[in-house]
Amino acid sequence: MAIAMPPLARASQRIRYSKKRKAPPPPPPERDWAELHPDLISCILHRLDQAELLVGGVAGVCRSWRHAARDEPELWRRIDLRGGLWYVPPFRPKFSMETMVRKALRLGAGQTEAFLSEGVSNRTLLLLAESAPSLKSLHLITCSVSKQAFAKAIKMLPLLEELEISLPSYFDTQEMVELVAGACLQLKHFRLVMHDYEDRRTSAGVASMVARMHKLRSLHLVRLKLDNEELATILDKCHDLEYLHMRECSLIDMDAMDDNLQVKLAQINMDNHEYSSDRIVDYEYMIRCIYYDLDGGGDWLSYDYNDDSYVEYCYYIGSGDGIDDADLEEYEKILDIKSMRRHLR
Amino acid sequence: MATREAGKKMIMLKSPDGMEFEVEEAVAMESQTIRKMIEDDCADTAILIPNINSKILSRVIEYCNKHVPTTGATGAAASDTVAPAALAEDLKIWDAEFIKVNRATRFDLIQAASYLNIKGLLDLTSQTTIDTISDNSLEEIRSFLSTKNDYLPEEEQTIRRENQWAFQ
Repeated sequence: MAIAMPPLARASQRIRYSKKRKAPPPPPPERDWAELHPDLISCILHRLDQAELLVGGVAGVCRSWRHAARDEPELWRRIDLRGGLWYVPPFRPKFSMETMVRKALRLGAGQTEAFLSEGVSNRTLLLLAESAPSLKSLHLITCSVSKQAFAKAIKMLPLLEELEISLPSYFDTQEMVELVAGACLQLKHFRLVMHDYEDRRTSAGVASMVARMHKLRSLHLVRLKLDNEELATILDKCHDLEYLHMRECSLIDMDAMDDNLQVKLAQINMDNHEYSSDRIVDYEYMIRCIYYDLDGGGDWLSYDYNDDSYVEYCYYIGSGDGIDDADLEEYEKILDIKSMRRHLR
Repeated sequence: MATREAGKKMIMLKSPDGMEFEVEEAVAMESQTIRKMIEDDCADTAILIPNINSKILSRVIEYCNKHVPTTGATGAAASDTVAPAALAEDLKIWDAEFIKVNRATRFDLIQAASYLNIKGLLDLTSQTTIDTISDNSLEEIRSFLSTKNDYLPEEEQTIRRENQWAFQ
């Protein structure tokens, strides 16, 4: 980048005017933004929430903006509809996430490589698998899919390198991970965030399936009951693993770890930075989960995994320190999951 | 301090309306376009920046001046003690002030940022534009962008149907 220099040097700048004029600034004539270069319109539209781009007024202002918003598959190479639920009016099935996804995929013209969404249903998932054969990155947040639909869809996406399944509902977690391990042979990044703690048997099953994902470079597991042995199996099989992030994986015991496991862990980056293949934007791996908590009296909950306070309470195996009660209080406040924990008991 | 100009290479930038701006090479090289010219040795005397008038060019230089790395807050003697996070925060505040311009100037700044290939400025100008038009109705956006409805009647129908969804 630019050459370093002492601060004062900048004050030395001189602006020299070849002609001395004292022109009173006339009011600038308005510019017609329709005449902006198409690349620049695209550049601006890239920053708009994609759900708004689909349903909002921006795409309709004039022909040139419409062209940029509707006829450029490049804009839809990465479809991020995580904000989409805000645009779905209740009780009007015509305007659903599915409609939005369908439209976004059509605009992507088969070139879509990354997809991020909340509230994905069976039909939406199958639609995605059919319309985006070159999908490399898939983030399903609060998806409700059946085993059949998931099995069918995942087999149609052999190029997946990055998969996130956060807060899934409706079917067996172990089976789901087994399907992933069997179908996604290129998988490099895997993230699995459970609603509640998985039971011991399921957690062990998930671990053995994860160990079959030999190309994994990053792994993020939340709320699984894994023990040291299962962790060791994963590290044994996944030689390329560079990043490991485990939170609320309750049975891991630092003190009882053998040397072999400790040496392996020492070679892995355990911080909160997650490797991501999603290079289209500087992806900070943020999830904003918004879901309706039926048991909690109907409050909208949202938690932000990118929050600094969250980072502090991540499970750092390296530190070996427990979290004391005061911290736990704080932690629960941050995640706003206290009521959920009560329900778990 | 006394030798502040020593070893500082200066570059002359000329706008098409005949004004000349002498800036440090490091500042000018915030523009990837100018950087390339300098690296290719196409910049021995002065660089003519076509299509960017002096008013806009001076704003662009002001931006680059502020954003050239490893220098602290403008002219502050104690700037080397400023923490990076504080510096980033300072830049953010400065950017927010800098971009408080009328639409026409912002339009010109976007074009200048694109031609000169200054990523930070392009980000800032496009993001500000999006912030202005986001969450607004079609008519409001049209007025913000001073564009006219240039659709044929049948196209108009499609747009209207599409727009029934949100922002009613």
